[in-house]
Amino acid sequence: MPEKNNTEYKNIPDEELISRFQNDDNDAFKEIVMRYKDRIVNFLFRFTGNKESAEDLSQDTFLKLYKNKHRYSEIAKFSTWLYTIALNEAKSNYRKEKKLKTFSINDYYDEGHGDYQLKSEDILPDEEANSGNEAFYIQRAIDSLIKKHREVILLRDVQELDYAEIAKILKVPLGTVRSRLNRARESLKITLENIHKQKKIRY
Amino acid sequence: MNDEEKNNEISDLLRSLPKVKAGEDFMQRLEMKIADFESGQNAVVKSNAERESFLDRIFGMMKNPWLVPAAGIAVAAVFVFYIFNFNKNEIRNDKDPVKIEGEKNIDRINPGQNDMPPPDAKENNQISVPGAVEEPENLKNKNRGTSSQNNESQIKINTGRTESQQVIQEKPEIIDGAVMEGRDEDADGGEMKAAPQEKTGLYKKEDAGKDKINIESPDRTGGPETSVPSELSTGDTAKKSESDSLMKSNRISKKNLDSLKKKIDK
Repeated sequence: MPEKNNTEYKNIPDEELISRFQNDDNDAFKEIVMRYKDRIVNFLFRFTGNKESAEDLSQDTFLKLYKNKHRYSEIAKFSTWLYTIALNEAKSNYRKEKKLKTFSINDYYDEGHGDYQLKSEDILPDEEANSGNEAFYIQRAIDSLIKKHREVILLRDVQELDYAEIAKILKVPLGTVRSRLNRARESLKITLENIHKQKKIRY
Repeated sequence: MNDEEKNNEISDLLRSLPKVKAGEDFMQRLEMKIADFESGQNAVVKSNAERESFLDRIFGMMKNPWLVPAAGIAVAAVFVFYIFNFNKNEIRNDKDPVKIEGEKNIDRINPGQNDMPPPDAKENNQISVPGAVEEPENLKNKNRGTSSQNNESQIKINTGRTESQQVIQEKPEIIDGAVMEGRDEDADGGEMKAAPQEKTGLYKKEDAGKDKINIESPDRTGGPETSVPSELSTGDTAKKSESDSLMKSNRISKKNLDSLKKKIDK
């Protein structure tokens, strides 16, 4: 993207950019991608726990935005609309992976490998050595949360969106967002405490 | 202490997590995906346009309005021609069974009148015998009463042959298995009768030639014209018995005739 365009679009609000993109201004689309790509990748990485999946899903999110640009109307904030797309992508990917896991276990059993041990939720020593820091444990704790708790805690505490916006993205009342967020935090706290206990026992 | 403050630690912990950034080639990859999507979309649009243009070329946008009724008439003409052509063959196939049906009615009116020998029998039996002498009138009358004994091989049936029998003649192989009822001794003047099937009429041509059978007409009014060859009239008993059995084999029952008609219908 040319430097000239960067400066030109820098101070334009999101809603104006999408409006220009709807009028076939592809530079406006590029500016949107530049603004949101890191945020979306980060959100999806925290949701999936996998960097590659997060990048692929982010690209799919922007591709959907490109395909469905005319569906956006200025009733909602642009970021709300974009996060909704990203979250839907993440959810559909989650469902696919869940199906894939179920089938892979069956396939393994059918192939005559005998007993199959499901992956333990405990942190394995080699994983711990690779992680090297606290972020790894937190991510493991996030991964262990149920989907509803995970999405609300990520939107609020990682992406720092306001309650009203979260309520619109999740399509639930504001009170539900609050209560769900509290339960998610408590659950995460308990999980982290358990992880720390395990660490103490190990060392 | 509200809920936010209660779990402040967790919130701070999550906010302190390192931010993951998109890869350097993120934009290029996205552009490639968009280009793929656009080319795919163009291909779909192009194929749709081609399809539309094909229809447009013929009838579209009232370019050639006369083509619509013309095409309709052409299709109708082809359809009608096909139907007629098809039915023509059907009628041809049905023609003979119709005649046979008509003949059945005649049978009902004059039962036994149409009980004819099998056409192959006729064909085979009409082998002219050189030196065969026509029976004199007095001998004819004499033989009338005892026809079953010595004259059966020489019955001539000239009348009463209908088209159905001609049809039968055309298919002599079907006649195999039919039995001709012989002349009743008590009947007046050699009237043919339907009889239960005795034996399949495996008529042999060589036998026919040998015995010089000539079946042509069941003359209802004056009795059959029966010509007795000179050998039989002299009382050659061996040949007579042979000819008797041969005549039995030529008899056809009405039942069998009906079954043959059905076969022909099929």
